Amino acid sequence: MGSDPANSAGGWAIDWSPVWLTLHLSALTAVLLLALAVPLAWWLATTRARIRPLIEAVTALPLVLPPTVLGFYLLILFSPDTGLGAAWVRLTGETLTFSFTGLVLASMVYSLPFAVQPLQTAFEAVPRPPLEAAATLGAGPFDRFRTIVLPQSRRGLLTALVLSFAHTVGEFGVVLMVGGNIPGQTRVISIEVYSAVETLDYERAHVLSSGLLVFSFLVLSAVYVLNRRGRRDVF
Amino acid sequence: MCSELILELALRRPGFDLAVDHAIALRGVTAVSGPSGSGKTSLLRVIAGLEPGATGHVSAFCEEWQGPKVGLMPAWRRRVGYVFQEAALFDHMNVARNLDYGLERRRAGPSGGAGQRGPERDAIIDTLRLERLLDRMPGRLSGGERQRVALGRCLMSAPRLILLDEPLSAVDHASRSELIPYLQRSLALAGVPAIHVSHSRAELRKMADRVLRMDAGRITASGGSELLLPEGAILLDARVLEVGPEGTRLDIGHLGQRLDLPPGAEFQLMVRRDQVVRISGSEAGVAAAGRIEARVAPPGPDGMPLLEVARQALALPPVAGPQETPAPGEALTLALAGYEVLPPRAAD
Repeated sequence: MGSDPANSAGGWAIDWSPVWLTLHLSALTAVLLLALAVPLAWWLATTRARIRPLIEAVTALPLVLPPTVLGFYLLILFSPDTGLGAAWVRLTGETLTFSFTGLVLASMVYSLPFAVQPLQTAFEAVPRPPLEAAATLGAGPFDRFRTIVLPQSRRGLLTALVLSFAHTVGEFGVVLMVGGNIPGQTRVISIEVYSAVETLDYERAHVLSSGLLVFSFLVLSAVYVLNRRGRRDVF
Repeated sequence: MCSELILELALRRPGFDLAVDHAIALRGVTAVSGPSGSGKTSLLRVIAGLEPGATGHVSAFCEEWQGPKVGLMPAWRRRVGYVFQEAALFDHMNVARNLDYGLERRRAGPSGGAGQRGPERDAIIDTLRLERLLDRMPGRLSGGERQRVALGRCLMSAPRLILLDEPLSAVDHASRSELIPYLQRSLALAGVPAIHVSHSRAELRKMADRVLRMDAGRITASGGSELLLPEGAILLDARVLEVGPEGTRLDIGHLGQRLDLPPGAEFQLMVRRDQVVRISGSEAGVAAAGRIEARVAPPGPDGMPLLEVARQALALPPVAGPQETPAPGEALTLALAGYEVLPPRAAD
Protein backbone atom coordinates (compact mmCIF):
# COMPACT_ATOMS: atom_id res chain seq x y z
CA MET A 1 0.00 0.00 0.00
CA GLY A 2 2.97 2.27 0.46
CA SER A 3 3.33 2.72 -3.25
CA ASP A 4 -0.36 3.26 -3.91
CA PRO A 5 -0.66 6.57 -5.74
CA ALA A 6 -4.38 6.79 -4.85
CA ASN A 7 -3.35 7.85 -1.37
CA SER A 8 -1.78 11.02 -2.60
CA ALA A 9 -5.04 13.02 -2.57
CA GLY A 10 -5.88 13.95 1.02
CA GLY A 11 -8.57 15.98 2.82
CA TRP A 12 -6.74 19.32 3.00
CA ALA A 13 -4.90 18.53 -0.14
CA ILE A 14 -2.54 16.66 2.13
CA ASP A 15 -0.48 13.84 0.72
CA TRP A 16 -1.17 10.89 3.03
CA SER A 17 1.29 8.54 1.38
CA PRO A 18 4.18 9.32 3.80
CA VAL A 19 1.88 8.39 6.69
CA TRP A 20 0.87 5.05 5.23
CA LEU A 21 4.40 4.37 4.14
CA THR A 22 5.71 5.04 7.65
CA LEU A 23 3.13 2.76 9.26
CA HIS A 24 3.73 0.05 6.68
CA LEU A 25 7.47 0.22 7.08
CA SER A 26 7.35 0.29 10.88
CA ALA A 27 4.87 -2.55 11.27
CA LEU A 28 6.70 -4.78 8.78
CA THR A 29 10.04 -4.00 10.39
CA ALA A 30 8.75 -4.70 13.88
CA VAL A 31 7.26 -8.07 12.95
CA LEU A 32 10.22 -9.28 10.90
CA LEU A 33 12.63 -8.01 13.52
CA LEU A 34 10.81 -9.86 16.29
CA ALA A 35 11.10 -13.10 14.34
CA LEU A 36 14.83 -12.51 14.00
CA ALA A 37 15.43 -11.15 17.50
CA VAL A 38 13.67 -13.91 19.47
CA PRO A 39 16.16 -16.67 18.56
CA LEU A 40 19.09 -14.26 18.72
CA ALA A 41 18.09 -12.97 22.18
CA TRP A 42 17.49 -16.53 23.43
CA TRP A 43 20.92 -17.54 22.23
CA LEU A 44 22.47 -14.50 23.93
CA ALA A 45 20.55 -15.20 27.14
CA THR A 46 21.59 -18.84 27.39
CA THR A 47 24.87 -19.44 25.58
CA ARG A 48 28.17 -19.89 27.32
CA ALA A 49 30.11 -19.34 24.09
CA ARG A 50 33.15 -17.12 24.37
CA ILE A 51 32.07 -14.97 21.43
CA ARG A 52 28.88 -13.92 23.18
CA PRO A 53 30.20 -10.49 24.32
CA LEU A 54 31.30 -9.77 20.75
CA ILE A 55 27.87 -10.62 19.36
CA GLU A 56 26.28 -8.51 22.08
CA ALA A 57 28.52 -5.59 21.10
CA VAL A 58 27.62 -5.94 17.42
CA THR A 59 23.93 -6.04 18.37
CA ALA A 60 24.27 -2.84 20.36
CA LEU A 61 26.28 -0.94 17.71
CA PRO A 62 23.22 0.74 16.13
CA LEU A 63 22.61 2.42 19.50
CA VAL A 64 25.96 4.16 19.36
CA LEU A 65 26.71 4.81 15.69
CA PRO A 66 25.28 7.96 14.14
CA PRO A 67 22.50 6.96 11.73
CA THR A 68 24.50 8.50 8.91
CA VAL A 69 27.43 6.17 9.56
CA LEU A 70 25.14 3.17 9.73
CA GLY A 71 23.32 4.37 6.62
CA PHE A 72 26.58 4.89 4.79
CA TYR A 73 27.75 1.33 5.39
CA LEU A 74 24.33 -0.08 4.53
CA LEU A 75 24.39 1.97 1.32
CA ILE A 76 27.73 0.41 0.43
CA LEU A 77 26.48 -3.06 1.35
CA PHE A 78 23.26 -2.67 -0.66
CA SER A 79 24.95 -1.16 -3.68
CA PRO A 80 24.40 -3.25 -6.84
CA ASP A 81 28.19 -3.38 -7.28
CA THR A 82 28.81 -5.36 -4.10
CA GLY A 83 27.96 -8.88 -2.96
CA LEU A 84 24.60 -8.52 -1.22
CA GLY A 85 23.24 -5.77 -3.45
CA ALA A 86 24.32 -7.60 -6.62
CA ALA A 87 22.83 -10.90 -5.43
CA TRP A 88 19.55 -9.12 -4.71
CA VAL A 89 19.50 -7.60 -8.20
CA ARG A 90 20.15 -11.00 -9.76
CA LEU A 91 17.43 -12.57 -7.62
CA THR A 92 14.67 -9.99 -7.99
CA GLY A 93 15.74 -7.61 -10.71
CA GLU A 94 15.44 -4.67 -8.32
CA THR A 95 18.05 -2.78 -6.39
CA LEU A 96 18.10 -2.65 -2.61
CA THR A 97 19.21 0.95 -2.52
CA PHE A 98 16.46 3.56 -2.81
CA SER A 99 13.74 0.91 -2.53
CA PHE A 100 11.17 -0.03 0.07
CA THR A 101 12.73 -3.48 0.60
CA GLY A 102 16.11 -1.92 1.25
CA LEU A 103 14.46 0.42 3.71
CA VAL A 104 12.92 -2.50 5.62
CA LEU A 105 16.31 -4.24 5.84
CA ALA A 106 18.02 -1.05 6.94
CA SER A 107 15.33 -0.38 9.55
CA MET A 108 15.77 -3.87 10.94
CA VAL A 109 19.47 -3.26 11.45
CA TYR A 110 18.80 0.18 12.88
CA SER A 111 16.20 -1.04 15.40
CA LEU A 112 17.89 -4.36 16.22
CA PRO A 113 19.02 -3.41 19.76
CA PHE A 114 15.53 -2.17 20.60
CA ALA A 115 14.15 -5.64 19.92
CA VAL A 116 17.03 -7.77 21.20
CA GLN A 117 17.70 -6.07 24.51
CA PRO A 118 14.20 -6.22 26.08
CA LEU A 119 13.89 -9.81 24.89
CA GLN A 120 17.26 -10.83 26.28
CA THR A 121 16.42 -9.19 29.63
CA ALA A 122 13.06 -10.96 29.72
CA PHE A 123 14.56 -14.34 28.79
CA GLU A 124 17.29 -14.00 31.40
CA ALA A 125 14.64 -13.23 34.02
CA VAL A 126 12.78 -16.51 33.45
CA PRO A 127 13.67 -18.55 36.55
CA ARG A 128 15.54 -21.82 36.06
CA PRO A 129 13.53 -24.14 38.35
CA PRO A 130 10.33 -24.15 36.22
CA LEU A 131 12.44 -24.86 33.13
CA GLU A 132 14.17 -27.75 34.87
CA ALA A 133 10.82 -29.00 36.14
CA ALA A 134 9.45 -28.91 32.59
CA ALA A 135 12.45 -30.91 31.40
CA THR A 136 11.92 -33.61 34.03
CA LEU A 137 8.26 -33.76 32.96
CA GLY A 138 9.37 -34.67 29.44
CA ALA A 139 9.44 -31.31 27.65
CA GLY A 140 12.22 -30.89 25.08
CA PRO A 141 14.05 -27.60 24.49
CA PHE A 142 11.67 -26.14 21.89
CA ASP A 143 8.65 -27.30 23.89
CA ARG A 144 10.01 -25.59 27.02
CA PHE A 145 10.72 -22.42 25.06
CA ARG A 146 7.20 -22.30 23.65
CA THR A 147 5.31 -23.27 26.81
CA ILE A 148 7.40 -21.70 29.58
CA VAL A 149 9.84 -19.09 28.27
CA LEU A 150 7.59 -17.24 25.80
CA PRO A 151 4.53 -16.96 28.08
CA GLN A 152 6.67 -15.81 30.99
CA SER A 153 8.34 -13.23 28.71
CA ARG A 154 5.11 -11.71 27.37
CA ARG A 155 5.99 -8.24 28.57
CA GLY A 156 9.44 -8.41 27.01
CA LEU A 157 7.89 -9.50 23.70
CA LEU A 158 5.41 -6.64 23.75
CA THR A 159 8.08 -4.13 24.69
CA ALA A 160 10.37 -5.36 21.91
CA LEU A 161 7.58 -5.16 19.35
CA VAL A 162 6.50 -1.66 20.32
CA LEU A 163 9.98 -0.23 20.75
CA SER A 164 11.14 -1.46 17.36
CA PHE A 165 7.92 -0.15 15.78
CA ALA A 166 8.26 3.23 17.50
CA HIS A 167 11.95 3.49 16.79
CA THR A 168 11.37 2.82 13.10
CA VAL A 169 8.65 5.49 13.02
CA GLY A 170 11.21 7.95 14.34
CA GLU A 171 13.96 6.94 11.91
CA PHE A 172 15.50 9.66 9.73
CA GLY A 173 19.21 9.47 9.03
CA VAL A 174 19.34 5.90 7.83
CA VAL A 175 16.32 6.40 5.55
CA LEU A 176 17.86 9.46 4.04
CA MET A 177 21.12 7.61 3.32
CA VAL A 178 19.71 4.33 2.06
CA GLY A 179 16.28 5.24 0.76
CA GLY A 180 16.54 8.84 -0.38
CA ASN A 181 13.31 10.70 -0.84
CA ILE A 182 11.13 8.88 -3.37
CA PRO A 183 7.38 9.53 -2.93
CA GLY A 184 5.47 6.34 -2.11
CA GLN A 185 8.71 4.36 -2.00
CA THR A 186 10.95 5.81 0.65
CA ARG A 187 9.45 9.18 1.58
CA VAL A 188 8.39 8.51 5.18
CA ILE A 189 6.96 11.11 7.59
CA SER A 190 10.29 12.19 9.05
CA ILE A 191 11.66 12.88 5.57
CA GLU A 192 8.45 14.62 4.56
CA VAL A 193 8.61 16.90 7.61
CA TYR A 194 12.21 17.68 6.78
CA SER A 195 11.44 18.63 3.20
CA ALA A 196 8.34 20.60 4.31
CA VAL A 197 10.51 22.68 6.64
CA GLU A 198 13.17 23.07 3.92
CA THR A 199 10.54 24.47 1.57
CA LEU A 200 9.08 26.66 4.38
CA ASP A 201 5.75 24.77 4.23
CA TYR A 202 5.26 25.08 8.01
CA GLU A 203 1.59 24.20 7.90
CA ARG A 204 2.35 20.80 6.43
CA ALA A 205 5.23 20.30 8.88
CA HIS A 206 2.86 21.14 11.74
CA VAL A 207 0.15 18.73 10.67
CA LEU A 208 2.52 15.81 10.20
CA SER A 209 4.60 16.53 13.31
CA SER A 210 1.67 16.96 15.66
CA GLY A 211 -0.03 13.91 14.15
CA LEU A 212 3.07 11.83 14.76
CA LEU A 213 3.42 13.20 18.27
CA VAL A 214 -0.15 12.34 19.25
CA PHE A 215 0.03 8.93 17.56
CA SER A 216 3.28 8.00 19.31
CA PHE A 217 1.91 9.12 22.65
CA LEU A 218 -1.23 7.03 22.22
CA VAL A 219 0.66 3.91 21.16
CA LEU A 220 3.10 4.09 24.04
CA SER A 221 0.31 4.79 26.56
CA ALA A 222 -1.63 1.78 25.30
CA VAL A 223 1.46 -0.39 25.73
CA TYR A 224 2.10 0.76 29.28
CA VAL A 225 -1.55 0.19 30.20
CA LEU A 226 -1.51 -3.30 28.69
CA ASN A 227 1.77 -4.08 30.37
CA ARG A 228 0.36 -3.18 33.72
CA ARG A 229 -2.66 -5.38 33.21
CA GLY A 230 -0.47 -8.28 32.04
CA ARG A 231 1.52 -8.04 35.22
CA ARG A 232 -1.59 -8.46 37.34
CA ASP A 233 -2.70 -11.52 35.36
CA VAL A 234 0.39 -13.44 36.28
CA PHE A 235 -0.11 -13.28 40.03
CA MET B 1 22.11 -52.62 35.20
CA CYS B 2 18.34 -53.03 35.05
CA SER B 3 17.29 -53.21 38.68
CA GLU B 4 19.92 -50.86 39.99
CA LEU B 5 20.82 -47.26 39.46
CA ILE B 6 24.55 -47.41 38.84
CA LEU B 7 26.48 -44.28 39.62
CA GLU B 8 30.15 -43.75 38.90
CA LEU B 9 30.31 -40.02 38.66
CA ALA B 10 32.11 -36.87 39.53
CA LEU B 11 31.04 -33.25 39.55
CA ARG B 12 33.56 -30.55 40.30
CA ARG B 13 32.70 -26.98 41.19
CA PRO B 14 34.72 -24.28 42.89
CA GLY B 15 34.88 -25.24 46.55
CA PHE B 16 32.94 -28.46 46.13
CA ASP B 17 33.39 -31.80 44.52
CA LEU B 18 31.05 -34.72 44.30
CA ALA B 19 32.45 -38.20 43.70
CA VAL B 20 30.09 -41.13 43.97
CA ASP B 21 30.63 -44.77 43.08
CA HIS B 22 27.57 -46.65 44.20
CA ALA B 23 24.67 -48.81 43.06
CA ILE B 24 21.21 -47.97 44.39
CA ALA B 25 18.50 -50.63 44.28
CA LEU B 26 15.59 -49.45 42.11
CA ARG B 27 12.81 -50.40 44.50
CA GLY B 28 11.25 -48.84 47.54
CA VAL B 29 12.47 -45.61 49.03
CA THR B 30 16.16 -44.84 49.34
CA ALA B 31 16.79 -42.06 51.81
CA VAL B 32 19.81 -39.82 51.37
CA SER B 33 20.79 -38.14 54.58
CA GLY B 34 23.56 -35.72 55.35
CA PRO B 35 24.32 -32.17 56.42
CA SER B 36 23.60 -29.15 54.19
CA GLY B 37 26.20 -28.81 51.47
CA SER B 38 27.12 -32.50 51.54
CA GLY B 39 26.11 -32.93 47.90
CA LYS B 40 22.70 -34.58 48.30
CA THR B 41 20.93 -32.22 45.91
CA SER B 42 23.81 -32.32 43.42
CA LEU B 43 23.58 -36.11 43.40
CA LEU B 44 19.85 -35.97 42.58
CA ARG B 45 20.46 -33.39 39.86
CA VAL B 46 23.07 -35.57 38.21
CA ILE B 47 20.67 -38.53 38.29
CA ALA B 48 17.94 -36.37 36.73
CA GLY B 49 20.29 -35.13 34.01
CA LEU B 50 20.21 -31.52 35.15
CA GLU B 51 23.98 -31.17 35.62
CA PRO B 52 25.70 -30.94 32.24
CA GLY B 53 29.06 -30.55 34.00
CA ALA B 54 28.97 -34.03 35.55
CA THR B 55 31.37 -36.67 34.26
CA GLY B 56 31.33 -40.42 34.57
CA HIS B 57 28.74 -43.08 34.11
CA VAL B 58 25.07 -43.33 35.08
CA SER B 59 22.78 -46.16 34.07
CA ALA B 60 19.38 -47.48 35.13
CA PHE B 61 16.45 -49.48 33.72
CA CYS B 62 18.72 -51.21 31.18
CA GLU B 63 19.61 -47.84 29.69
CA GLU B 64 22.76 -45.82 29.78
CA TRP B 65 21.93 -42.27 30.87
CA GLN B 66 25.42 -40.94 30.89
CA GLY B 67 28.66 -42.41 29.69
CA PRO B 68 31.35 -42.32 27.08
CA LYS B 69 29.13 -43.97 24.46
CA VAL B 70 25.90 -42.00 24.86
CA GLY B 71 27.24 -38.73 26.22
CA LEU B 72 24.55 -37.14 28.36
CA MET B 73 20.96 -38.25 27.86
CA PRO B 74 18.91 -35.05 28.35
CA ALA B 75 16.64 -34.82 31.37
CA TRP B 76 13.47 -34.78 29.27
CA ARG B 77 14.20 -38.22 27.83
CA ARG B 78 14.94 -39.95 31.14
CA ARG B 79 11.39 -40.14 32.56
CA VAL B 80 12.68 -39.33 36.00
CA GLY B 81 10.31 -37.28 38.13
CA TYR B 82 11.80 -34.54 40.28
CA VAL B 83 10.03 -32.77 43.12
CA PHE B 84 11.93 -29.58 43.84
CA GLN B 85 12.44 -27.99 47.21
CA GLU B 86 10.61 -24.85 46.10
CA ALA B 87 7.91 -26.70 44.06
CA ALA B 88 8.92 -24.90 40.81
CA LEU B 89 5.34 -24.59 39.57
CA PHE B 90 4.56 -22.79 36.32
CA ASP B 91 3.32 -19.44 37.60
CA HIS B 92 1.53 -18.54 34.36
CA MET B 93 -0.69 -21.62 34.42
CA ASN B 94 -3.41 -22.60 36.87
CA VAL B 95 -3.14 -25.80 38.90
CA ALA B 96 -5.06 -27.91 36.37
CA ARG B 97 -2.76 -26.83 33.54
CA ASN B 98 0.30 -27.43 35.70
CA LEU B 99 -0.91 -31.00 36.28
CA ASP B 100 -1.79 -31.58 32.64
CA TYR B 101 1.64 -30.39 31.56
CA GLY B 102 3.04 -33.66 32.86
CA LEU B 103 0.12 -35.74 31.61
CA GLU B 104 0.35 -34.43 28.04
CA ARG B 105 4.05 -35.18 27.81
CA ARG B 106 3.72 -38.66 29.24
CA ARG B 107 2.25 -39.87 25.95
CA ALA B 108 4.77 -37.99 23.89
CA GLY B 109 7.66 -39.82 25.56
CA PRO B 110 10.35 -41.31 23.31
CA SER B 111 9.89 -44.92 24.42
CA GLY B 112 6.26 -44.94 23.32
CA GLY B 113 3.07 -46.24 24.89
CA ALA B 114 3.64 -49.46 26.82
CA GLY B 115 5.93 -48.28 29.60
CA GLN B 116 4.17 -44.95 29.96
CA ARG B 117 1.10 -46.09 31.86
CA GLY B 118 1.13 -44.19 35.10
CA PRO B 119 -1.65 -43.56 37.59
CA GLU B 120 -4.91 -42.09 36.28
CA ARG B 121 -5.41 -38.34 36.39
CA ASP B 122 -8.44 -38.64 38.67
CA ALA B 123 -6.63 -40.97 41.05
CA ILE B 124 -3.78 -38.50 41.40
CA ILE B 125 -6.11 -35.55 41.98
CA ASP B 126 -8.03 -37.61 44.52
CA THR B 127 -4.99 -38.93 46.38
CA LEU B 128 -3.49 -35.47 46.75
CA ARG B 129 -6.86 -33.72 47.38
CA LEU B 130 -6.35 -31.32 44.51
CA GLU B 131 -9.98 -30.99 43.28
CA ARG B 132 -10.55 -27.70 45.02
CA LEU B 133 -7.28 -26.19 43.85
CA LEU B 134 -7.63 -26.91 40.13
CA ASP B 135 -8.71 -23.38 39.11
CA ARG B 136 -6.25 -21.55 41.33
CA MET B 137 -3.05 -19.85 40.20
CA PRO B 138 0.14 -21.05 41.93
CA GLY B 139 0.71 -17.59 43.40
CA ARG B 140 -2.40 -18.07 45.54
CA LEU B 141 -1.42 -21.42 47.08
CA SER B 142 0.10 -22.09 50.49
CA GLY B 143 3.49 -23.79 50.73
CA GLY B 144 1.93 -27.17 51.49
CA GLU B 145 -0.56 -26.84 48.62
CA ARG B 146 2.24 -25.94 46.22
CA GLN B 147 4.13 -29.10 47.13
CA ARG B 148 1.01 -31.23 46.69
CA VAL B 149 0.55 -29.77 43.20
CA ALA B 150 4.23 -30.38 42.45
CA LEU B 151 3.88 -33.99 43.58
CA GLY B 152 0.75 -34.42 41.49
CA ARG B 153 2.40 -32.91 38.44
CA CYS B 154 5.32 -35.28 38.87
CA LEU B 155 3.02 -38.33 39.10
CA MET B 156 1.09 -37.15 36.01
CA SER B 157 4.21 -37.56 33.91
CA ALA B 158 4.37 -41.29 34.83
CA PRO B 159 8.01 -41.32 35.91
CA ARG B 160 10.00 -44.52 36.34
CA LEU B 161 11.88 -43.10 39.29
CA ILE B 162 10.92 -40.23 41.58
CA LEU B 163 13.51 -37.91 43.08
CA LEU B 164 12.38 -35.97 46.13
CA ASP B 165 14.68 -33.04 46.85
CA GLU B 166 13.83 -31.89 50.39
CA PRO B 167 10.17 -31.51 49.41
CA LEU B 168 9.22 -30.50 52.96
CA SER B 169 11.92 -28.02 53.76
CA ALA B 170 10.23 -24.94 52.27
CA VAL B 171 7.04 -25.67 54.21
CA ASP B 172 6.20 -24.52 57.73
CA HIS B 173 6.37 -27.04 60.54
CA ALA B 174 2.63 -27.69 60.88
CA SER B 175 2.13 -28.41 57.15
CA ARG B 176 5.19 -30.64 57.17
CA SER B 177 3.58 -33.38 59.23
CA GLU B 178 0.43 -33.08 57.07
CA LEU B 179 2.45 -33.53 53.92
CA ILE B 180 4.24 -36.73 54.94
CA PRO B 181 1.15 -38.95 54.47
CA TYR B 182 0.60 -37.32 51.05
CA LEU B 183 4.18 -38.18 50.14
CA GLN B 184 3.71 -41.78 51.24
CA ARG B 185 0.40 -42.15 49.40
CA SER B 186 1.86 -40.59 46.26
CA LEU B 187 4.74 -43.02 46.19
CA ALA B 188 2.36 -45.91 46.79
CA LEU B 189 0.11 -44.71 43.95
CA ALA B 190 3.01 -44.27 41.56
CA GLY B 191 4.42 -47.67 42.49
CA VAL B 192 7.91 -46.71 41.38
CA PRO B 193 11.17 -46.40 43.31
CA ALA B 194 12.07 -43.11 44.91
CA ILE B 195 15.16 -41.39 46.22
CA HIS B 196 14.35 -39.04 49.06
CA VAL B 197 16.87 -36.40 50.06
CA SER B 198 16.59 -34.55 53.33
CA HIS B 199 18.75 -33.30 56.15
CA SER B 200 16.00 -34.19 58.62
CA ARG B 201 16.51 -37.76 59.83
CA ALA B 202 13.12 -37.78 61.52
CA GLU B 203 11.48 -36.97 58.17
CA LEU B 204 13.43 -39.69 56.36
CA ARG B 205 12.81 -42.33 59.03
CA LYS B 206 9.10 -42.32 58.27
CA MET B 207 9.59 -43.79 54.81
CA ALA B 208 13.03 -45.22 54.18
CA ASP B 209 13.76 -48.76 53.01
CA ARG B 210 17.46 -48.12 52.86
CA VAL B 211 19.71 -45.24 53.65
CA LEU B 212 22.73 -43.54 52.16
CA ARG B 213 24.61 -41.11 54.29
CA MET B 214 26.56 -38.38 52.54
CA ASP B 215 29.24 -36.02 53.71
CA ALA B 216 31.47 -33.61 51.77
CA GLY B 217 30.43 -34.97 48.39
CA ARG B 218 30.98 -38.64 49.25
CA ILE B 219 28.71 -41.48 50.27
CA THR B 220 30.08 -42.31 53.70
CA ALA B 221 27.71 -45.10 54.73
CA SER B 222 24.91 -47.19 53.33
CA GLY B 223 22.56 -49.49 55.17
CA GLY B 224 19.16 -49.73 56.81
CA SER B 225 17.17 -47.19 58.73
CA GLU B 226 19.47 -47.61 61.75
CA LEU B 227 21.67 -45.04 59.96
CA LEU B 228 18.94 -42.49 60.55
CA LEU B 229 18.72 -43.05 64.27
CA PRO B 230 19.58 -40.27 66.64
CA GLU B 231 22.54 -40.65 68.97
CA GLY B 232 22.01 -43.40 71.55
CA ALA B 233 18.95 -44.94 69.90
CA ILE B 234 18.11 -48.62 69.88
CA LEU B 235 15.89 -50.48 67.44
CA LEU B 236 13.79 -53.38 68.62
CA ASP B 237 11.98 -55.79 66.32
CA ALA B 238 8.41 -56.15 67.51
CA ARG B 239 5.23 -57.91 66.47
CA VAL B 240 1.66 -56.90 67.30
CA LEU B 241 -0.24 -59.56 69.27
CA GLU B 242 -3.44 -57.72 70.01
CA VAL B 243 -4.81 -54.19 69.90
CA GLY B 244 -7.12 -53.72 72.86
CA PRO B 245 -8.87 -50.84 74.59
CA GLU B 246 -5.93 -50.16 76.89
CA GLY B 247 -3.24 -50.22 74.22
CA THR B 248 -1.27 -52.59 72.04
CA ARG B 249 0.11 -55.89 73.26
CA LEU B 250 3.41 -56.85 71.65
CA ASP B 251 5.52 -59.98 71.67
CA ILE B 252 8.13 -58.00 73.57
CA GLY B 253 5.91 -55.91 75.83
CA HIS B 254 3.07 -53.47 75.82
CA LEU B 255 2.43 -49.96 74.45
CA GLY B 256 -0.09 -47.55 75.94
CA GLN B 257 -1.00 -46.34 72.45
CA ARG B 258 -3.42 -48.21 70.17
CA LEU B 259 -1.34 -48.75 67.05
CA ASP B 260 -3.09 -48.71 63.73
CA LEU B 261 -1.68 -52.15 62.86
CA PRO B 262 -3.37 -55.56 62.59
CA PRO B 263 -2.33 -58.47 64.84
CA GLY B 264 0.74 -60.17 63.42
CA ALA B 265 2.09 -56.93 61.89
CA GLU B 266 5.80 -56.45 62.37
CA PHE B 267 7.51 -53.16 62.98
CA GLN B 268 10.45 -51.64 64.74
CA LEU B 269 10.34 -49.81 67.98
CA MET B 270 12.88 -47.05 68.36
CA VAL B 271 13.87 -46.17 71.88
CA ARG B 272 16.52 -43.75 73.02
CA ARG B 273 18.71 -44.86 75.91
CA ASP B 274 17.59 -41.92 77.99
CA GLN B 275 13.93 -42.85 77.47
CA VAL B 276 14.37 -46.11 79.34
CA VAL B 277 13.60 -44.57 82.67
CA ARG B 278 13.20 -47.45 85.00
CA ILE B 279 14.10 -51.02 85.49
CA SER B 280 12.52 -53.04 88.18
CA GLY B 281 12.02 -56.66 89.07
CA SER B 282 8.27 -56.90 89.18
CA GLU B 283 6.72 -53.40 89.32
CA ALA B 284 3.84 -53.58 86.91
CA GLY B 285 1.40 -50.79 86.19
CA VAL B 286 4.06 -48.06 86.21
CA ALA B 287 2.84 -44.90 84.58
CA ALA B 288 4.79 -45.05 81.30
CA ALA B 289 4.24 -44.83 77.56
CA GLY B 290 5.14 -48.50 77.30
CA ARG B 291 6.82 -51.50 78.83
CA ILE B 292 9.29 -53.99 77.46
CA GLU B 293 10.05 -57.40 78.87
CA ALA B 294 13.77 -58.05 78.99
CA ARG B 295 16.12 -60.59 80.43
CA VAL B 296 19.55 -60.09 81.88
CA ALA B 297 22.14 -61.44 79.49
CA PRO B 298 25.58 -62.71 80.34
CA PRO B 299 27.99 -59.81 80.71
CA GLY B 300 29.68 -58.51 77.58
CA PRO B 301 33.41 -58.84 76.84
CA ASP B 302 34.12 -55.69 78.83
CA GLY B 303 32.36 -57.10 81.84
CA MET B 304 29.34 -54.78 81.45
CA PRO B 305 26.05 -56.48 82.23
CA LEU B 306 23.74 -56.54 79.18
CA LEU B 307 20.08 -57.04 78.55
CA GLU B 308 18.35 -59.19 76.01
CA VAL B 309 14.99 -58.43 74.44
CA ALA B 310 13.49 -61.25 72.40
CA ARG B 311 16.95 -62.67 71.64
CA GLN B 312 18.29 -59.25 70.58
CA ALA B 313 21.29 -58.30 72.65
CA LEU B 314 20.92 -54.79 73.92
CA ALA B 315 23.84 -52.64 74.91
CA LEU B 316 21.77 -51.31 77.75
CA PRO B 317 23.35 -51.70 81.14
CA PRO B 318 20.70 -52.33 83.78
CA VAL B 319 20.20 -49.28 85.92
CA ALA B 320 20.58 -49.69 89.63
CA GLY B 321 17.30 -51.07 90.94
CA PRO B 322 16.14 -52.99 93.98
CA GLN B 323 18.79 -55.58 93.24
CA GLU B 324 22.24 -54.17 92.64
CA THR B 325 23.50 -56.85 90.24
CA PRO B 326 20.77 -58.89 88.66
CA ALA B 327 21.78 -62.42 87.82
CA PRO B 328 21.91 -63.53 84.17
CA GLY B 329 18.62 -65.05 83.07
CA GLU B 330 16.56 -62.91 85.42
CA ALA B 331 13.51 -61.21 83.89
CA LEU B 332 13.13 -57.43 84.03
CA THR B 333 10.54 -54.93 82.91
CA LEU B 334 11.80 -51.78 81.21
CA ALA B 335 9.52 -48.77 81.46
CA LEU B 336 9.63 -46.48 78.42
CA ALA B 337 9.19 -42.73 78.70
CA GLY B 338 8.87 -42.49 74.92
CA TYR B 339 9.33 -44.43 71.71
CA GLU B 340 8.82 -44.17 67.96
CA VAL B 341 7.19 -46.75 65.69
CA LEU B 342 9.08 -47.40 62.47
CA PRO B 343 8.32 -49.62 59.48
CA PRO B 344 9.98 -53.08 59.56
CA ARG B 345 13.57 -53.45 58.46
CA ALA B 346 14.02 -53.64 54.71
CA ALA B 347 14.85 -57.01 53.20
CA ASP B 348 18.21 -55.86 51.88
